Amino acid sequence: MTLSQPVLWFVIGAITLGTFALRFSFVGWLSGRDAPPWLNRTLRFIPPALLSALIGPAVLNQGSDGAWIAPVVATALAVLIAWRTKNMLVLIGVGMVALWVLEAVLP
Amino acid sequence: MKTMTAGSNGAARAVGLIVSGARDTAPILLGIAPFGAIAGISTAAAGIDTGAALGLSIGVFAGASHLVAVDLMDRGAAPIVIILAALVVNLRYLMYSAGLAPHFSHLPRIWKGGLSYITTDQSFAIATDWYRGHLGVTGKRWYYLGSAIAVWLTFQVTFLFGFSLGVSIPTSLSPEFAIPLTFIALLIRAISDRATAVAAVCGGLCSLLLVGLPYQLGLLGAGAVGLGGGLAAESRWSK
Repeated sequence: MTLSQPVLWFVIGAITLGTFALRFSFVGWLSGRDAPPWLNRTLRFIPPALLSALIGPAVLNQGSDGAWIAPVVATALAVLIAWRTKNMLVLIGVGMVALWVLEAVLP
Repeated sequence: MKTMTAGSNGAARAVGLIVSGARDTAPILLGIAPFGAIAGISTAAAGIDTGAALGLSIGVFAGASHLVAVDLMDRGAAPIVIILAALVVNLRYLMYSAGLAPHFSHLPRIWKGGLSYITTDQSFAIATDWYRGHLGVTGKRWYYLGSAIAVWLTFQVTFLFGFSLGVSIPTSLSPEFAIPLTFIALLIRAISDRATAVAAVCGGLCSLLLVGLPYQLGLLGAGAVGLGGGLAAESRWSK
């Protein structure tokens, strides 16, 4: 964490107010209006686009001093197994254990 | 005397609808509980203090954006990148709000505000499904309230459990690695067809090309490229 307390609270406050505004939008301000059709069409691409853009840098951020092999291999293993089971806890469990084992084994 | 009877009947009916909403939501709570615990562990692993953690879980109360914010805070992203990324993740609430608006249109503003705050993917799905089967029913707000409170309580309790667990996990066990793993679980669910897969591949590849940019500025570019890729793929394949 590098954010100072005031900045941290500004960020949390902005996300809180912004999220409320999104939830309140049509219920509170635009009642009786329909959401534009392009919005629905676009929204379904946000989770895949943004999540996959977060994963790579977050995985690479794990290894200190450029030790990227253990987190990358652990991630790949977790994905392979999760693809078959579709279970969030299995994915996280396999990934964590794989990381611990690889970090202990790799030089 | 007559109004009193009507009032107590109304109260009994309200309680009944709250219970129905909570009961119909119960099976989904089994999925929310582990997610709440993982969000708590991840928030602690990122070095967020208790006050800020509660600000995120109670104030924002939107698990995916909460995790995105925590991850970006941990990786030294610029404040504007954190705010924008979290709000983009939450843009879907516009659609939920539009879907709920006709059901809540007659309610006082305080109710509109409260029910909006407590909206989640789960309660939206369950309540609108129930409303389709109960056209013209009165007291829709109570059903929604029951479902949403069940989700809210489950998330807050399991989040606090995970957070208190997370602060005692030593950093040598790399608990923050749970964050990208959770993103992968959410990503697998978000890929439902070829076009969403294209969006994921475009966003992922682009993020690796931009990984050197400071303050995680590459995220917004990569997200936009992924979004554009998905839309382009969809319009190409639907013709």
